[in-house]
Amino acid sequence: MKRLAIITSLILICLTATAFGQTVCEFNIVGTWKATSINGVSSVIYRFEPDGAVTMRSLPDSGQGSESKEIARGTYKLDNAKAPKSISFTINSEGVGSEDGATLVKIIKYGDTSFTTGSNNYDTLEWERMDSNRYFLVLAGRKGVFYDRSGPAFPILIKTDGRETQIDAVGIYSVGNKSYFGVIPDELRDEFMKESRNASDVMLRLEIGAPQYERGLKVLRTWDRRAREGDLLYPNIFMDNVLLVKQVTETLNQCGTTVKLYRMDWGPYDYITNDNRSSLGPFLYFKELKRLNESLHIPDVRFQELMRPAARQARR
Amino acid sequence: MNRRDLLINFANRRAPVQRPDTPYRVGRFSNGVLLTHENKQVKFYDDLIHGRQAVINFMYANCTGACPLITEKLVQVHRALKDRMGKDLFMYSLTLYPEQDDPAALKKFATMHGALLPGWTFLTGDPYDLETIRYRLFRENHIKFDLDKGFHAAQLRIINDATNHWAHVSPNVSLETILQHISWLDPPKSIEEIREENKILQEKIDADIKLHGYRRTV
Repeated sequence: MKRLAIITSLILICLTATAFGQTVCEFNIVGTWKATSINGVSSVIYRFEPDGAVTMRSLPDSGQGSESKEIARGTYKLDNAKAPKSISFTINSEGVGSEDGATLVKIIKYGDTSFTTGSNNYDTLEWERMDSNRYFLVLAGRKGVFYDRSGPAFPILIKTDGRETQIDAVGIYSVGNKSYFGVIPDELRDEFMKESRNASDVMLRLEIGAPQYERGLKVLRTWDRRAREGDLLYPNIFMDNVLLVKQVTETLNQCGTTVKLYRMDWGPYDYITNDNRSSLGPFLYFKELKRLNESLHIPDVRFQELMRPAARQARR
Repeated sequence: MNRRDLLINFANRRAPVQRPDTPYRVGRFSNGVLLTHENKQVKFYDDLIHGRQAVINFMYANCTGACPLITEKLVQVHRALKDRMGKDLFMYSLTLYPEQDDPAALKKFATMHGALLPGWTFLTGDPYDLETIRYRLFRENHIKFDLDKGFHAAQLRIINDATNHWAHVSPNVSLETILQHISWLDPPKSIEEIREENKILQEKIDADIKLHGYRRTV
């Protein structure tokens, strides 16, 4: 009887451990995409709206002054908004697809910035996301500020179209020698936007895609709300910050590996959480990510170039 | 309350006087607005916890692993305490995946597992509020375990808000152990109730001694 109870308990524990899945890549079709046939012969620009409307435009010619023209207009529907296997198009005006019914196109694979479709009647198409904005994630930290030798550490998300820039940063910051959690004051944030040569500072600046930015921003906004409404998850704000930086950085690879991540899992090989206080965790984590992704880091000079509208126009 | 009232209450061992709501008290739970399986809006602390004794667990409707087994165990708990359910004892099952589980999905789950019972409410709502409640009630102060929703799902939290007592028990243990944990948080008995219980026990002991010559009742 006792043995039976133990076996039942073990089965329950195993079931519990396997029943809860990991975060999966959620597809987001809203936005502008360039669809190119696999042989590269033709390209069309599709604009998918959140309300289910779709507009098709021709690709502008390479000559100066040429503009893209609207080819067709209609509606689209995904069979499953977050993990689709097919899109059905209904064309209202002249264009691809039949006017009387929907054209079903299978989605072969998808990621943050691209997806591939195919059907029996049409060529395989490669879809690439087009965006007039650029997005950056900055992971910045400093040690030796607070009584326990730790310091401010926070992620910064930047969205810019060359003219207007939106910057969001949430995490641990200092006022005097005191630590606070919440939206980083502008002056302190700007101080961390530039690289420092001090060994006590760390900064990794990455260019990211729109979906990565949106996912990261969602995490930052949630933590900002938690800080404002007194709903932080831990009594110790440094633990909240560890969770925040872990969540923001892990959303980067939700739809495919784009950044090498340090595995902060409290396991036997995780030296950051095993050998250090939680207050130093984000700083050391950023340092480790900088080491792993040195080639992806955008130095100050390059960042300034990327932020200039002229440079962006030339690139186009 | 003056000093005399305090001493009299202490001497009578009555349930403590209801404490006033303070931000600290509500802050221990969260007062987020949730939706019941009957699609009714409720405030978590004000409507469900305040002054009550409750057994709380997390689950989700599409779970085919541990949740049905845990729910089955909770049905047994409900059966054993059915006289108290909905009166001075309540059961709350909150979803881990509010994005997927609307009130209808929770009601279907409850019906499927025979858990549509008085005093037992299934709850969904804003993911923000449910995450806050999950951490407030089941936090281990270790991020690895706290991130693991499954780890939190395999636990029961028992709370008596009137006495401000909390207990925790695994649903994998025997029914008797769960009932024992719930009884530890029962409201304190008055001196009269304790005297009455002692009197009944003494009568049993006296009867044992008269019949067998020694005490058999434990």
